[in-house]
Parts: sequence; C-alpha cells; structure tokens
Amino acid sequence: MSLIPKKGTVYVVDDDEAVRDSLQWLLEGKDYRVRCFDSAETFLSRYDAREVACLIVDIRMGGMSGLELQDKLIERKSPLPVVFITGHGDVPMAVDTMKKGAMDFIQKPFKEAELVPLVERMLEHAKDAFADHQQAASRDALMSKLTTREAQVLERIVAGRLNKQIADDLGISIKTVEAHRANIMEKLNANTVADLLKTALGQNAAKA
Amino acid sequence: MSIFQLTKELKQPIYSKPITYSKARPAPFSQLQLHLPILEKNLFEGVIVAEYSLEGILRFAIPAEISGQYIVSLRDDKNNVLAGQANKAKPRVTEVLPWLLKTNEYEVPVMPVGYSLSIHAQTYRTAPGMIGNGMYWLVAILSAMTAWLLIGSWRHTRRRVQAQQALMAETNFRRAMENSILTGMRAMDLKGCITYVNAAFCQMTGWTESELVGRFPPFPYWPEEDIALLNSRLQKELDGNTSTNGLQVRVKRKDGNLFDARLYVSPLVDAVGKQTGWMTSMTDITEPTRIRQQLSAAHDRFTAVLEGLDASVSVAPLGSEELLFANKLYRKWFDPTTQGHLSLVMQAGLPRTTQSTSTELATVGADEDDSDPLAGFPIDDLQEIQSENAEIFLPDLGKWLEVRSRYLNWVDGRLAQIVIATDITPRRQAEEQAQAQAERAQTASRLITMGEMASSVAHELNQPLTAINNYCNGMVSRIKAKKLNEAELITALEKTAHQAQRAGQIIQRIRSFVKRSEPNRTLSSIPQLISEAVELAGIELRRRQVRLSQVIASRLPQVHVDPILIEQVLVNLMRNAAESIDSAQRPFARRQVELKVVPRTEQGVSVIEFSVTDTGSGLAPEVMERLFEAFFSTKAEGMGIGLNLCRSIVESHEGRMQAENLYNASQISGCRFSFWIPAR
Repeated sequence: MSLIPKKGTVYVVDDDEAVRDSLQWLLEGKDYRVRCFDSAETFLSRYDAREVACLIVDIRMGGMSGLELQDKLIERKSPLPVVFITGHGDVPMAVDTMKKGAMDFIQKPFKEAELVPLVERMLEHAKDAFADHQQAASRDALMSKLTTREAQVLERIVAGRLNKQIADDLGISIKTVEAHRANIMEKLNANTVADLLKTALGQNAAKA
Repeated sequence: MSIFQLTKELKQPIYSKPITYSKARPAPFSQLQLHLPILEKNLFEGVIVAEYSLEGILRFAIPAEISGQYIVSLRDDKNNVLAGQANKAKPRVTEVLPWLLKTNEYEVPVMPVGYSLSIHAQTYRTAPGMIGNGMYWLVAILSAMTAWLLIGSWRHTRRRVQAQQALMAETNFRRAMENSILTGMRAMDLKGCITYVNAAFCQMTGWTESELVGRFPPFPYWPEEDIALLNSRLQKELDGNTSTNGLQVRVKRKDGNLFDARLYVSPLVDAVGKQTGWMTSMTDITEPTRIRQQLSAAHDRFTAVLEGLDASVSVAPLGSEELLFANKLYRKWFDPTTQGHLSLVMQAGLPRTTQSTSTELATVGADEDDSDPLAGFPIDDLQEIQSENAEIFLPDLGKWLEVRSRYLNWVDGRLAQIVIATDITPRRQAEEQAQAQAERAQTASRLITMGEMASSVAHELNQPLTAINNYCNGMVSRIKAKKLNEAELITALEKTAHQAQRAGQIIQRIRSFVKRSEPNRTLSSIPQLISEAVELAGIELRRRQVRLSQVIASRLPQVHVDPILIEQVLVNLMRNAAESIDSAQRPFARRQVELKVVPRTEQGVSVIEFSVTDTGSGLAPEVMERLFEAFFSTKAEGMGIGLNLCRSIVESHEGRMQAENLYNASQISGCRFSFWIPAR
C-alpha cells in the first residue's frame, strides 16, 4: 500500500466477496483506508468503536441484515455514519434506514461520482459525531457518579424548582437538598448552576 | 295119578291139565279130564272121569259169527295152541307198528283157574288189516298234504306280505316323487273328466285336489277368455291328436294370476292295454320364458352394442382365412374378409411378433427350431387373458387406430384371435395438441418463474456488475493518479473479467432454463441437474436471505428424464420454500431450506426421492386440498400454474408428488414438498 496518509477509515460490510473486494479496490484508489467484513456479526465483534470512520453496508445479507446491524449500532449509541447499499427494488427498505438515521443509500451498481462525495461527507460527519460522542461519553461518565437521590435532585434543579419545593417533593429537609446540591456541583465539576444545566441538558439531549 | 289123588283128598271135582296127544293121527289133539269124586257118606268111593275134547268145546261153544270173524284158539300158559287155529305168523306191518297188534288180539283166561288156560281170539288179518292200513295211509298222506299245504300257504302269505311291503314302499316312493316333482300331472278319463291331479298341479294352479277331481271342462283353471280355444284343444286331445312338442297354454291360478304353461299329453292305458284316459303333464314355463326372452333381448343388445360400437371387432381363427365374426364398423372399414384383420395384426405387431422377438432374444445362441408347428405362437398359456395394445396408422383409412387383440377359444373350440381396433385419430390429435400445450405451458411457466424472479435476477446480476464497475472505477482513478503498478492492474483486470463471466453465467443459466426446447428425455446425472437447479433457485434464496442445505446421496443412478423439466420442478419448490420462509418472517437462524435427494423403494420399485423442506408456516388445510389445482394460488400475483405444472411434470415421468406440513409439537414448523421418479 502506498504511504500516502489516509483520508479516513471506511468499513465495508457485504456478504458478496466480489462487491466487497471491488469496493475496497475503488475506495483505496481514492486513498481511503478500507476495512472489509463479510458479515454484520464479524463487523460488530471486530470494529474499533473509537476510530473515526464511516460504514457502507449491504442492506441484504445472509445472517444479520443491514437493517439489523443499524439497530445494533443505535443500541450501542454508535456515532458511526451509515450508508446502505441497496439493490433493485429495495427502496422501501432504504427509506426505513433513513428514518432511523442512516446518512443515505446508494444503489448498485454505484456511480463513483456519487459514492466518493458521499464517503467524504460521511467522514466529515463522523468527525463531529465522534467528538459529540466523546463529550457525551464523558458526560455520561460524570453523571454515572451521582447517587439515585442526587439524580432526583438534579432532575428537579434542571426543571427549575426551588430547594424548598424539591425538599417537599422528595420529603426531605432543605438542608439535605442543599447538601445534595453541593455534592452534585462537585461531582459534575460545575461551578455555577449554568454549568450544571449545560452538563445535565447535554446528557438529556444525547439521551433523547 | 295126581289128579285122582287130588280129587280123592280134596273130595272135589278137579280138572286136569290139558293133555296133548301130539303124536295122534291124523292130527294132534288135546283133551281135558274132569275127575268127579263119588262120595258115599262123605267117603270117597271112586272117581268119575269125564274127558272133554278141547277142540270140540271150541267148536261147539263158540258161535259161528264169532269164529267167522276171529281166529279163536285155546292156549296154555306157554302160549301153546291146544285147540283151534293159531296164526302165529304176524304180518310185518304189525311188527313195525306193534301198537296195532293189541287192537285185534284178545286173550281171556278160562276155568279152571290155575291151569292158565286162555281163549285167544285174533281177528283175521286179511280183511280188517287191509282196510285199516288203507285208511291209515290215506290219513297219513292227507295229513302230509295238509302240512305241505299249510307250509305252502304260509310261505305264500309271507311272500305276499313282502310284496305288499315292497309295493307300499314303491307306492310311497312314487308318491314322494310325484309330490316332489315340479311338473303338474293331471289324468282325465276318455270323457274329459279329471280323475287325478298331483300335488304340483294343485300347487301350480292353486286349486285343491278335491276341487279339481271329478270336474268336466271347462276346468276352473282355464282363463275365461281362452275357454273356447282350450275347449277345442281339449277336444283334439281327446281325439288323440296331440303333438309331441306339447302345447303352450295360459293357466289361471285360483287367485286370478295367469301363467304360461306347457302341456304334454300321453294316453293312459290300463293293465290289459285298453286306453282309459289321458295323462297330461304341465310345466310352468313363465320363468324359462322370461329367461329366454331376456336372453334373446341380451343377445339383441349385445349384437346392437357390437354393431354400434365405434370400434371394429373381428375374430379370426389362427392360420385361416375364415372370418368368424366382424361387426359393422369392421365391414365398413375393411371388406368382409380377413384381409383387414390380418393387416391389423401384422401392423400392430401383436403378441405373435412381440412374443417371437422375445423368444429370439431368449434363445440367443440356441438353435432355432423351424419345424415347430407352433412356432410364432405365444408360449404362455393361450387361455390366459393377454391383451396387447398398439397404436397404428392406417394410411388407407387415414386413421390412427388403437388395436387390441387377445386369443380366445372360439365357440367351436378353435383358437381364435379377436382384434378390436378403435379409431383414436381425434384422441391422437387431441393428445398431440395437449402435448404441445403442455410444452407451451411448461415453457410459459418457466418464463413466468423467471419473470417472478426478475428482481432477484436483477439483484443477482447487480453483484458482478457492481463489482466490475467498482474495479473499473478504481482502475481509472489509480491510473489518473498514476499510482497503479502493472501487477495490481492485472489482478484487477482478472477480477473484473471473472465478474463479467459470472454475470454471463447467470444469464446463460436463465436462458437455458427459459429456452423453449423439445421434450428431451435423456439419461441425466442427478447431481448435475441439481446443481443447475440450485444455482437458479439460489438467486431467489439469496435475495430472501434463506440458506440452502443439501443432502444428496452419493452414487445416485442416472435417470431417464428431461433435465430441464426436473430442474423446473426443483427451482419452483425451492423458490416456494424461500417465499414461505420469507412470508413467515423467520429469524435468520431458521431461514433454511433443505434439499434432500435419496434413493428409496416405492412399492417395490426403486425410485429417487427429491424433497424440499422449508421452515415456513406450512400450508393451511384448505390450501393443502387445492394445492395442485390449476389456477389456485395463495400468492397475490400468482397464476396458480406452478405446482400444478410441477405435478404434471413429475407424473409425466411416472412419479408422484406430495406435500405435507411438518410439526414441532402442535406448532407447524415447516412444510415438505417431495416427489419421486423411478430410477432406471
């Protein structure tokens, strides 16, 4: 392989060896790093979730189908942008994938002029997505430090309720609420309520 | 003298013993002396002696009538005759029958007592003996005769009793016979008066014996409307004009029913040969008449059927020009000669020829026996029903004929051959048409199959095309960037070419599948036709993400089939299986079709069984029933010819096809379609 720095990693999942191999040949010609998998299962077990990459997957495959793979990735909260390869007559399925957040779909046989920009676009998107994902991951890490009670308190703070009201809601004293609040601020590295809200809402947003 | 002394002492008269002077002449005589004492004052004075001549006494003392009848003699104690005649020579008969002696000899002792004199009287032997003997013998003979008569009459009586018994037995036997026979018997005297009827006659007519005997014509069993006719007939009968064939008459039963009867009349003759009347026997011929009518009707029908048959029927004995039977159509098609028959037999290559060829085959290497007079005849039992079919074309008639023949024993016992030729021209044409139609249908079905598979085929073709496209684009961009070395280029080009071949193969396979071809049965290798079918069906299976597992027995024999048609069946079954799995939305682990090909035995015939098992939701009972019906489909766009055609293809290969649901407990876990074709 050439030593030219790669533009990014493209995962190719297709059960047809020829399609897989030729796609690799095509994309490598465009200086992408290509990693091929012959099934969705292999891909799920082998791919590096931290790597900024995009995924080109055949919508029809023996074993786990492209759609199922997408579901798995959503479950894993993977930021991986996905593009589906569809055959003739698979358009309704492709529409489904789009609704679930797929970037796009391309029909076989591919037009190079469509495929390359699409990959480019996906990798761009992947960078942001991975950054967001990183952030979200760290937020999640922080949030996971909170106790159940603290989470309840934080929920009400975000909802804009006063300490007194929170105490009433949870049937605890105001002092205890204040103590929880202090703990929350400390655990989430927040100096101000605004920081706190930002962290908390970012997490909620990611969840939604 | 002692007597003197005695007289002196006893002073009593004393008789002396008779004194016989045996030497006296001319004849010996006897005397008796009586000594009378002379007493004086009781003193013995002397004796007076008186002499009696015994002969004289007898002569004077016995009356003449007695002496005429008896021989009287005076005898002493020693039975010496002193006086009179003696008849000592006794007749022999009296010696034999001594009891008769006593009856004619009497002895009376006479005085003086002590001298044992006796008068002996003997009847004359002559007269009384003869009469007595004669009587005796007469009586004896009469007695013997009487005894003989008695025995004779006893014997006679016994014989008579025996004869009587025999007669009784015979009579009973006759009576039983008479009662058991179904023929009615009626006897008439010369005037026409019924003198006798038997049980069968009574039973037949329903009248009792007492009601019939003594009746004069018209008899009660005569139907009113026939009385005149019957009267005249009876008159003829009485005149003696009877026909030996009998008369057929109608008879009325007591209950009014009529039946047909046949009468036979014969004269009744008594012991001395004089005719006393007529004996008539009557038979109920209603049943025979009915049967005869039916038989004749059956014969008419049979003839009508044979004549009206749209097949020519001819019977001819073997080795003869004679035509035993030919129906109308035969006469119409051929001349009424055996020519047509023989030409049919010849052309059809009927048993004779087939048999002889097989004989030849069987006797390869053996000397052929030309002198066998039965050469060419079927070797099997000729009576055995063997019929051979052949379809021949007769250019003269311009007809296709189905010819069947078999051997039969003709009514005269000759071995004959019956040939039935049926005009099958329209059927033949229809068959040809149907055949052509079936071929068209099969081709159409394959086209439809491919049409239905179009999207799968497109997908399948897309794979190599996409690959080719990618390789080419990759090469282009590399060449543009000038970073393509030769080795890489060659590899890429080779891969491209390979993909192009792949696409070509798919198209080729589809083409050969769809291509209209003449039915072409050849010895085909099963693995090869399976792999073709699997490749085609694989297109659909892959698109539906259904895996195929194959269980193919090793060393399968070659089969005589049309490979394209069997492939068509397999492709259809596998496609259906994939569709069924798809519509049941099975998870991937259960998306599997199994194709199994194994040899097995079906009713003693070795067959190859193909089965396709899916894991779909099976067949509903109502679908199962109509599964192989034409134009029945469960698919929205299905035409309902797939399975129908599959089955007819299998059946045209003398195979059978069936479908069954598979169960996992009570849950339908799939469906199995299988068919077998004979292996040979």
